[in-house]
Amino acid sequence: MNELLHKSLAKPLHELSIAEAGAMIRQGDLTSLALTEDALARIGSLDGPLDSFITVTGDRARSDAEQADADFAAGIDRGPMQGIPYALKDIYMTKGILSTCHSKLLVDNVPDVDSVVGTKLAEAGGVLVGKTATHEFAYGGPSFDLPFPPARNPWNRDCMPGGSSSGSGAAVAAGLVRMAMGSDTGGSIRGPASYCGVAGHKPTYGLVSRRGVFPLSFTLDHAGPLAWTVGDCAATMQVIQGHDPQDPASAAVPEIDFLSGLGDGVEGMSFAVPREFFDGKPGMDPEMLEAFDKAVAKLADLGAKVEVVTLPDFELFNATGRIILTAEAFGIHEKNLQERPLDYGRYAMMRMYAGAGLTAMDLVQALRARRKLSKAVNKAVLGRHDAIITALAFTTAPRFDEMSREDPPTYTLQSMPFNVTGNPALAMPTGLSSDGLPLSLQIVGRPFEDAKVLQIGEALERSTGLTAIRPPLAA
Amino acid sequence: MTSTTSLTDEYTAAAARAGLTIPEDRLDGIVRLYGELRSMTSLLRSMNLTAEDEPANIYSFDPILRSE
Repeated sequence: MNELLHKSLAKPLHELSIAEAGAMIRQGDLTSLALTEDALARIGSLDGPLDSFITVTGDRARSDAEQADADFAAGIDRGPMQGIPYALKDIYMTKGILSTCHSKLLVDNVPDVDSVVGTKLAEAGGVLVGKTATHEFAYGGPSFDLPFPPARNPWNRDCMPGGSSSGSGAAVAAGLVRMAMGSDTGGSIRGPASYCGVAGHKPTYGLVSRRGVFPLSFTLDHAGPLAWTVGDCAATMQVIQGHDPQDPASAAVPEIDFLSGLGDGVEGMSFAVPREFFDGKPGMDPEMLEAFDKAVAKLADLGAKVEVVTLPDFELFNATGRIILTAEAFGIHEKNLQERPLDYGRYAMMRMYAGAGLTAMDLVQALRARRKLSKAVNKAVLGRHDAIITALAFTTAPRFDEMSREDPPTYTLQSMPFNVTGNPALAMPTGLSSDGLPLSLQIVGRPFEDAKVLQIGEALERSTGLTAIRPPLAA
Repeated sequence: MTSTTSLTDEYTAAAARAGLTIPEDRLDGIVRLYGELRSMTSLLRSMNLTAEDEPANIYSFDPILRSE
């Protein structure tokens, strides 16, 4: 493995944040090509047992890196992602590069266009090192009956990394890349972030274009980053946000400054904790709750006001989201489900098939419930508070050998409510359990106040010092 | 409460209308998933939805925030 050390930071290259690596490149202490070669070497030596990548784009990465270095040399600075290696979940279409959605149905799919997010990262000077594993079509998994194996958790390879952005979470946690893009329809960024101990930001619905990302559920899908630090999420968001008139859900709102407020802390802010949502619910790991309480106490120590609030019952949000997701996914996949159902893996096929029994009336009731629940979150709670601090995963990463082989696995996550409402939501680590697996919480903000969500997360991250802890595999 | 048999019959009829062929070894699992969805649709029908909870077909923040 390439063990390049920086002369002043004495830090292995893979532990540099996006801001640190960018500063070194700009100072002439590092090149993007050296950073990229280090990433490719780590992928080559560490990803075998992790299976976080489906495709490694070494030639493209070296070309991107050389261009980034040439631009720096010419005085061209395209912003925080210039020269930084990153990965895309394999549901992001990439021009001339295999884009399979981890499915037999698209196993030979080489698109002739890039996703908008991929285009923005390329135009910002980012370095694409590869495409990451996912649950099939971001829905069914983890599965062992697909053309590629499921990704594994770097903290313990017997454990799942979560999904559906499974490879993105694993690759970031293992230090193969600082940032990998994911998608989140019911928790598919935040779940892997929680189980892999990284930061994962589901942006406000409409803030990041989804064009060129294979859809799972039109009105619930969000594109967003998983990264080792909250600051790295902010650097990515600075580049990938923006109105896309060709994405029907894209919001025509002013661009957000994600970087200048980072580091401003939480003093004077007001946070709502919907304790009844998760406390005392079956399956909640006491260690997860203890770490949550410590994190909330830390935010109070940092000068925030914390108030316990009541939200509508979690099961109402979950039911609303599941019905909309299942109906929309069935609508998207209907033709293939009719004509080639056995080309899907068992789990994705079963989940989608179940949607055949939903009626139009079921969907209308879910849409009505969605409006009511969105008002409850945005008016009654976020009308009075800067953010909601709440639990995310009830447990640490589940083990593969605990999976049912018959029925699709389910994760005990409280992520779906904020897909239903569309609010920005950040998952981040709160510590490690007694058996060495990551614990987490989520921070939820008002629509388009994504920068404030990341500001809160950064304050908590900085106060805990957790980013210094890496999985043993990647140490 | 819907029995397993009637739930299976209800689902297989819907699947046939949708043009799906159900592999025999997956039927029980799919019906279990369908049963979960039916429980969820029942739960949502217990909500006190009013005329204000009108989805206007397409979900977006605009109509929600305009109503503040």
